[in-house]
Amino acid sequence: MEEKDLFDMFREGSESLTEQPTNDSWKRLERRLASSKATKKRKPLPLQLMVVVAIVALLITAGIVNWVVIKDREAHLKNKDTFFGLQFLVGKWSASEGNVVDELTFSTQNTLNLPQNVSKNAPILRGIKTVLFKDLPIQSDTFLLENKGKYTTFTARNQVYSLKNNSNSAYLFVASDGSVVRLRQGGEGRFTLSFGEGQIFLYRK
Amino acid sequence: MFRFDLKQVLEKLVKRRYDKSDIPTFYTVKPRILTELELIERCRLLDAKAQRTLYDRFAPKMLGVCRRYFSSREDAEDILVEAMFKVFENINSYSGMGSFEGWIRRIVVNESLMFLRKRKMLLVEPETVDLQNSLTHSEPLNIEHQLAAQDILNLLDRLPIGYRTVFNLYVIEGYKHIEIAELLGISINTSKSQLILAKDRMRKEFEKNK
Repeated sequence: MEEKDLFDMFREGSESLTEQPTNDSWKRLERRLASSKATKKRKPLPLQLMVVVAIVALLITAGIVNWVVIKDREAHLKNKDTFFGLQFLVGKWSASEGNVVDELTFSTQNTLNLPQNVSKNAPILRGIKTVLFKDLPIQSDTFLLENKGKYTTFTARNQVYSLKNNSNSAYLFVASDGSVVRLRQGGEGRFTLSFGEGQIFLYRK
Repeated sequence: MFRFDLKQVLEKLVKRRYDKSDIPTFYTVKPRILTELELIERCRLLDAKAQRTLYDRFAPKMLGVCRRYFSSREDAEDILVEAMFKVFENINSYSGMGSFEGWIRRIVVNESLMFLRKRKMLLVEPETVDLQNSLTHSEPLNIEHQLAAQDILNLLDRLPIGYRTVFNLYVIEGYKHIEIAELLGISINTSKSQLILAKDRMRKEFEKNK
């Protein structure tokens, strides 16, 4: 006869303690595993797709920033007291030799000393409010505008003129007194941006 | 005279084609019983069949573990499902060191304790026991036979949940009192007295049913 402690008896007996679970238990577990598997199988995006998404996001961001900057510039132009009544006149003038009325050749003036006349013989333009020109086609190889970070201005008289240059766009502004026009290269931010040497072709409206 | 009967020839061919006795035995594929390691590897790859096989292999024993903690079979099965789900979810963390069954068992026991804690079933009221006397006067039982599984459950079912849990953790799982105290959030002395009371209660029950 073997003497056993209650604990030993339990330890031995517990090994034989098995019970068959119901099939319902497995079904429940299977469902949980299936749903977990479905979430696990959602693989992370492949690298190429991530790159494409990043590029698209970058383009969208750039577009938004550009749009905001343009909006800001337009608002700035509208609200600027110094320059009034600005309108875009893109495409309203066609560049041809026939309607060239004047040609101004100007040279670099001193910096931050505005406005200054470029050509003393140029006609004086008075009371003209609409003097913003942009994206006109380049007509001639002869003129050259170099942005040297300096200012230049010209005056004109009794006529509306368009401006051409060999940069992407150019703006012509009338000063608040209506008598002085300031020229600047477009698309580069502030009004104080300027040209160095160059030629300006003026066209009759 | 030789007579060529096309129909007869075709029938013979078809019969031969489908007569399984013609197929050599090495063509027949017998399902191989996977080893534990193979099963684990397949479960790691989320192989549903392997998961079922693993479940079938371990669930009965693990349900037995759960049943020691819960008198309700429904509760025990709930714990089993939850624990086996955790086993499959965390199978990658099984390092291969130590027995796999032991690893599953730990998950099952932890799950059982968690369940008891959630349901606040472990609020054991400390009973005053003369620990010194009880520990020294623990007499062995004279038992000529092993306890059947059902006997174990019957005896455990008569214990309050606190006694039962401490008894299971100490006697079967092999935890020390200090570990049990930490697991259940009780003092070491409470753990000891619960065990003594459990043992006394079981002894009486055992003697009664002898």
